[in-house]
Amino acid sequence: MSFVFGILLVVLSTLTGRALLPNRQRLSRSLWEELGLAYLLGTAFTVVVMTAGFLGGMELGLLWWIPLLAGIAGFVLDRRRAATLGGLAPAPWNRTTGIALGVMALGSFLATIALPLNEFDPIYHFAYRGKVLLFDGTPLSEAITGMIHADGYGRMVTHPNYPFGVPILEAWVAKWGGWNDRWVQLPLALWAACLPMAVACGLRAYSARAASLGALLAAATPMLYTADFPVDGWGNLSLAGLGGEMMLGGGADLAVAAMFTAACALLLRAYHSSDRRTALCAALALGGTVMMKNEGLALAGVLLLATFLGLIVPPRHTKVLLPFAAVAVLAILPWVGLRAQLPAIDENYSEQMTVENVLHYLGGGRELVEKSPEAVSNRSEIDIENAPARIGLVADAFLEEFLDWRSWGILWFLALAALPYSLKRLKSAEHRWLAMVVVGGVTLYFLILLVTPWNFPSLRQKGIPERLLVHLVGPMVLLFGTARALGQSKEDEPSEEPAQS
Amino acid sequence: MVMSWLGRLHGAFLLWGLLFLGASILGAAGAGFAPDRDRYLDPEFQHGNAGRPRYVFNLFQDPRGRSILILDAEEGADFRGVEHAVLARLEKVLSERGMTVIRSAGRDALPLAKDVDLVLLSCDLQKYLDLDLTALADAMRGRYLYDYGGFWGEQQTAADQAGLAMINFARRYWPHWLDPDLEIYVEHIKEQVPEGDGILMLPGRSMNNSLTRSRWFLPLNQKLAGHRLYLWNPQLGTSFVTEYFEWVQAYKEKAPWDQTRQVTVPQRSLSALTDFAPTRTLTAEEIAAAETHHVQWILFWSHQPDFRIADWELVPLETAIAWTEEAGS
Repeated sequence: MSFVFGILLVVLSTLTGRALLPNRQRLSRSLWEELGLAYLLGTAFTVVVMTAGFLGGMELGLLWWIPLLAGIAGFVLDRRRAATLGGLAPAPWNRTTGIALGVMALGSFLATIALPLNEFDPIYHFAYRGKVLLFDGTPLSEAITGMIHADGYGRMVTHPNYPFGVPILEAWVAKWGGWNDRWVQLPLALWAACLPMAVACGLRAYSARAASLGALLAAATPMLYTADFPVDGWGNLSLAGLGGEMMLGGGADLAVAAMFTAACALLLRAYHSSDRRTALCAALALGGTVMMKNEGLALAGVLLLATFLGLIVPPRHTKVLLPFAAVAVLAILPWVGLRAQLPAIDENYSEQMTVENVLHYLGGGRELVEKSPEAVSNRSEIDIENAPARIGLVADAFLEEFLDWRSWGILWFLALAALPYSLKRLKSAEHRWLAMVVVGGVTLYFLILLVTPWNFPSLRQKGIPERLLVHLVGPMVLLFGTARALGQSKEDEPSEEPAQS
Repeated sequence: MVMSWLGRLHGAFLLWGLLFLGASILGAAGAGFAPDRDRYLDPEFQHGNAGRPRYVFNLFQDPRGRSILILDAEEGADFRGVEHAVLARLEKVLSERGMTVIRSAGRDALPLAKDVDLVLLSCDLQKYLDLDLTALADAMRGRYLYDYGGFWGEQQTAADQAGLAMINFARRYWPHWLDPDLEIYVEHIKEQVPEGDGILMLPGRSMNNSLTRSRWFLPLNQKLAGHRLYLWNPQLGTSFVTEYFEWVQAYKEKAPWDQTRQVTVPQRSLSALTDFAPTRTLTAEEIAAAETHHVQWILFWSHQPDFRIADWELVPLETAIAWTEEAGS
C-alpha cells in the first residue's frame, strides 16, 4: 500500500509544481524539463508548508491532506490556464543524448529502490525522524525534544535539529500505507533524474546546445550516484550500492543538490527574462533546499549574499531579486522557528563559526587529535603538541576531492575553466552571482570544516567533504554551461537537431 | 575549443555512472532485492594471532584436565578459516598446559564432542555450520562455543536456546542493523511491550569496549519506534563516533554497576543462559529517572559488539525496583 502512496505523492507533487511554474511563454521549457522542475517545486512546496504547519502546532494527520489538496488544486488550475499556458518547447537534446539521460534517470530511480533503507545516515538521521512524525504526528514530540532532560536521561535521536524535509516525505508515504523501508524512498528516488532537467531549463535561455550539454554533464557526474566507485577494486563490483558511499537513497545530500540546482536554474532564467513568477519559484526551491539538510541554510545564505553583492554593479535586476529574496526568507522562516525549539548536538556550525575560531585555524590551529577515536578510546598515545595544523588537513582533503575523477569526473576542472569566462562577463549580474555561489559554496564548506568541533580525519573517513560538495554540482554545471555558451556566442546555433518532446 | 573538449571528456563519465547503477541494481537483484549479509566482505578473525591460547585460557582458571574440540578441515580440503599451521601451534601450547586437544580434521563433530569443555570452530565446512547444537550441548561437558571466523553467523540464538554460550571472535562487515539476533530480540520486545510504553536502557555490567558496533541502542530505538526508549546522556551516546567514545568513558566513570548488585534470574524472558543475565539492582538516580519518564520497563544489556540475546534482559520496572528493595533490606 505504501507503494501506491509513494507513487501518489510523486504525481501530486508534480501536479502542484506544474501549477506553480509560470506559463511557457515566460519560461520556455520542454516536457522533461517541466516534469523535473515541477516535481522539485512540488516537493519543495510540501516540505515548506508542512514545516510551517508543524511550527503552527498542527500534526501530520491534518497536514497530510495539504499535498493531496495542493495536487488536486494544481491539476484544476493547470486545466483552467490551458489556453494561456502555451506550448512545450522541443527538448534541447538529440535522440542519443535523450536516451542517455533517460537511462541514467531510470537507473538512478531503480538503484534507489532496489534495496530498502540500508545505510546509517538514511536510517538513523532521517527515517527515524520520519517514524517520529508518523507515530507522534509532530517534530515537537518528546521523542525529539526529550533528548535533553535535567536528570540526564533522555530519548535517542542522532540529529535532532536536522530539517524535516526527507522525514516529511517518508512519513507522508507511510501515513496510510504503513512504514515500508523500501517504498518510503519512492519520493526520494527522483532527485538524480530531476537535477539535469533543472540544469537544462536554466541553460535553455543561452542556447539549446548549452541546455543539452548541461543536462548531460550533470547526469555524467558520478557523485550524483556514488563516491569512490568501485570502492574495493574491480573484483568487488558486487559491493556496489552497499556502502556509505552511495549518494542515492534515503539521505538528504542529493535532495539538497537537486533543490539548490532548481533554485539557481530558475533564478538564472528569472534574471534573463525579468520574470517575477520564475523568481518566486526559485525562492520556493531555495526554501526546499533549506528543508532538506542543515547545510541548506548555509547555501541559502551564500546565494542570497551573492545576489545582493551583485546589486553593487548595474544591471541590478531588483524586479526579480527583491521578490526572490523576500519569498525565500518567508519560505525559510518556518524551519528557523521550528529549529529553535529542537535540541542540538554539538554540530552547531553557527556557534562554531566565530571570527576568533576561523582566525585560530587559519593561523595554523592544530587538529583536535584529542578527539580522535584512538585518543578517546585510549587505543594509543596521542601527541597533542605535535598535532598537524587543521588547515593543511582540510586543504589536502579538498584537493583530493577536486582530483578524484572516480567521484567527480573532471567537473572541478570544468568549473575552474569557466571562472575566467565569468570574470570577463562581470557586467552580467547572473554570471556574477553564479560564480560567487560556486566559489562561496566551496569556501563556506572549507570554513565549516575548518572550525568543526569534531576530529576532522574522522569526518573525512565518513565521506566529508564530498557529501557537502555534491550540493554544488548544479551551480558548477550552470556556471560551465553559461561560460561555454558565451564562448560560442559568435558561433552558429547548434548543428544537432533537437528532438520533439 | 578547450571548453568543448573538457565538456566531452566529462560527458564520457556517463558510462562510469551507468556502470555503478548497473552493478548496484544487478547486485540487489541477485539477492532478491533485499539486503543480504552474504554480499558483504567475509568476517575476519580480529584478535591478532588466532594461535594465541589466551582466549581459551580466559575460560579456565586451571586448564589442566580440560578438553577442547577444534573443528577444522582435513589437510588438503578447500575451506576458509584459520590455517592448519596456526591451529597446530595452538594445539601445542594448549597440550603443554595440560589440556586435551581434539582436532576434528573434517570428521563428524558429535562423537568427538563427548565431554569436551569447549568447542572451537575454525573453518567453514558446511557439516559444522549445520551442526545440531542441541545434540552438541548434550554431548559436551562444558557449554562454550568459540567461533573464530563468524561462520556460525545465524546460529547464535539457536546455540543460546540449546544452553550454549557462543562467542564470536570475528569482525563482521555487514551493517549491524542486519544482525539476525537483533531481529529476534526486537520481535521479542514488540511482543512483550505495548506500543507507547517507556523502556529505560541500562548497562548491566562494566563497559569493556567502545566499539561503534556496540551501539545496539541505535537500531533498537529505530526498530522500536512507537515505543519510548531512554538512555543516559543520549546527546553524547547517539552523536558522532568520537562523542560516543566520550560517552563510554563517562559511563565507565559513573559506573552504576559498581553501586548495585548483580541479580541472577531463575527464568529469563528469552535467553536460556541464566548466569549470563546482565540484570542488576537500580541506583536511586535510575529509579528516579524511571519514575520521571514514566517508564514501565528496564532493558539491561552488556555492552558488546556482537548482538547475543544472552546479553539482553527485559524486566518490568516493578521487578527491578523489588530487587533493589530486597537488596537494600
